Amino acid sequence: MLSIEVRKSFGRFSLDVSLTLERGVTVLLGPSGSGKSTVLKLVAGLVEPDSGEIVLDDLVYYRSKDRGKATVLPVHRRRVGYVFQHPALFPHLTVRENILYGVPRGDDRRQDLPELIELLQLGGLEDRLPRQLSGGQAQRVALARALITRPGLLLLDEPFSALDVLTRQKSRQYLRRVLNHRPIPTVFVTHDLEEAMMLGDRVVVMDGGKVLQHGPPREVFLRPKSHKVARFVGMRNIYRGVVRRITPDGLLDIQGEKFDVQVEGRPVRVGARVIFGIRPEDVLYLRPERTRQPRGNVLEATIASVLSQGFMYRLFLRVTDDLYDLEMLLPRHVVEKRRLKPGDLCRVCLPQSAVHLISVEEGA
Amino acid sequence: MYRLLAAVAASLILIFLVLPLVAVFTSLQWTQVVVNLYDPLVFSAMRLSLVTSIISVAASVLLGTPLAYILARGHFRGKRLVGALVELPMVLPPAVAGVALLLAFGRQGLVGRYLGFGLSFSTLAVILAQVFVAAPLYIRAARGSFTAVDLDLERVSLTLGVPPSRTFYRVTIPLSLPGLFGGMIMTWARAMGEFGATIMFAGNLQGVTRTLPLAIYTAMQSDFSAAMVMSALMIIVSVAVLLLARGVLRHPEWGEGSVAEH
Repeated sequence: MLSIEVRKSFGRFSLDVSLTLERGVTVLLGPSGSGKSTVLKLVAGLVEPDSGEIVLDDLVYYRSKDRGKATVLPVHRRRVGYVFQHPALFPHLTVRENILYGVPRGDDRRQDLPELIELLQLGGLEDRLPRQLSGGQAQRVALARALITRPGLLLLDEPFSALDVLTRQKSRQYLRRVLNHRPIPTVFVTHDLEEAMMLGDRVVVMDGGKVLQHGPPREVFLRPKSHKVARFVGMRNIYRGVVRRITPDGLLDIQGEKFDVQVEGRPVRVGARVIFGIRPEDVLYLRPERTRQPRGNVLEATIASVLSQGFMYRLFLRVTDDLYDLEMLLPRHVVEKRRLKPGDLCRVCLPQSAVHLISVEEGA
Repeated sequence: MYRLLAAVAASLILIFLVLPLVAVFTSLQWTQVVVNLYDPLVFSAMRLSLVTSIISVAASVLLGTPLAYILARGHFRGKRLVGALVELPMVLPPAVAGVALLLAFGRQGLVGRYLGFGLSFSTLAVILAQVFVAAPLYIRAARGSFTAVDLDLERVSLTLGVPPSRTFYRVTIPLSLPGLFGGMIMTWARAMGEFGATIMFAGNLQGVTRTLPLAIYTAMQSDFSAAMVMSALMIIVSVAVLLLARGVLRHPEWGEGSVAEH
């Protein structure tokens, strides 16, 4: 278990993070400049906190004076495996020498070499120099080099973000495979939502040096707890509203700034100001010939614009006089079969279970 | 038109730079060369130059490397000032360097006064003069090559459990080697050629402080052919050093482009 409680300021930026991470992969997610990479550097010891405490299991990495015996464990004694955004392989050493760099001659851990080469498919590259490797290969060597030391903690700082899309996807699978094979507590920094969803057992959303939300990926993505997190995880449709009443079957009836909705949710007192939202992919298109009234919030809307995103279309819908009020994602075949185009009228449904109550302003 | 002008200018300066060197060799009488090379005066000057310059390079490397590393990686107040002070002797006229060394290490000098004896007019003085003028070249080159080593490589090494001292030997030094070597060669060439500071601070005593440049100067007044032979010798050495330096910098594993591509 890794417990972090640190403060650090650089000029105007200040970081104040308190986290307890269990086994598995924790994804630190946030926009650039949110402080997520700094957290890794603080844990690895590359940057020293102003105050606080960092402890991995029984090993104190850092402790400031005010918490007892002041401790700063040097980087090389922390047993962390660190992989940067660029591979940072030693250019004067071969692949084999790079991987074995951290394990001295005669060390038992050297016996892991064949297994790691197999696991990361580096066979045949052992005698190459780093400049003879592709980006994906180089990053796998960097991973092998970190893993062979059998670190107590793996710190990955956007390791795949410099790779092309295909290589990135493959690299994620390699990482998953390795971690299934040797479960090492891992902190993975990224700003890629898909990556967070695929790799994370937990997601920590950061912004401005603070933790905004912490939980399993599905929960963070589908149930963001604040406007900022909701925006960051891609919940494009976010609205303010006031709770008008609670229906007999326990739904919240909300008068929204643009349209009214009924939402499943925790009990909220009538009159409370709320923020609610729905992900574009959760907005349903209703076929015009459909006669049965669907359960949920049905809206009549005008298509403001249609944007092709390759395999999907993003439709911007208007229900008020604004430029647009609602975004939805539709598969290509629906848009093409229905010949949806700007100016058309359509009916959409916001299922009560998909509209999410983001936050309630208490005391309003 | 501009092309033609540029070509003319380029040829003129090239001819000007090469012609004097050619003149040394065309004026040599080859029978004289053999006689002069066995001349004990030439031989002792050559030996003194080699011994003192090698010791000077060694001293510059041993004492200069830590300073260069501190200047490359350290953060401290007055770093810019220290950096400028270290490079000052490079731009100082050698004669001024000689006077300054006398005032510091001569019998009556700032340090000499307390030592009770002067360091001037000895072989040690020759080495001090050479280190004074040449070490900054090494420190500057070493600082530059340390700075060029990607910090993340050193960081990765630390996270892999390799302590800072061993990280320095296993990552920083090997990756800086071409630059360090280039710096050593420049330092050696400068030490070999040192004249002004040496003659003022160490004097011109045959076998003790009379290095090749001083011997050439001395021979000019009596035996001109000996001066020519020694000059030819130094030109050959310089060309060899230049070629060696180029060869090292082009080494396939060390040359440019091998230092971390990303």
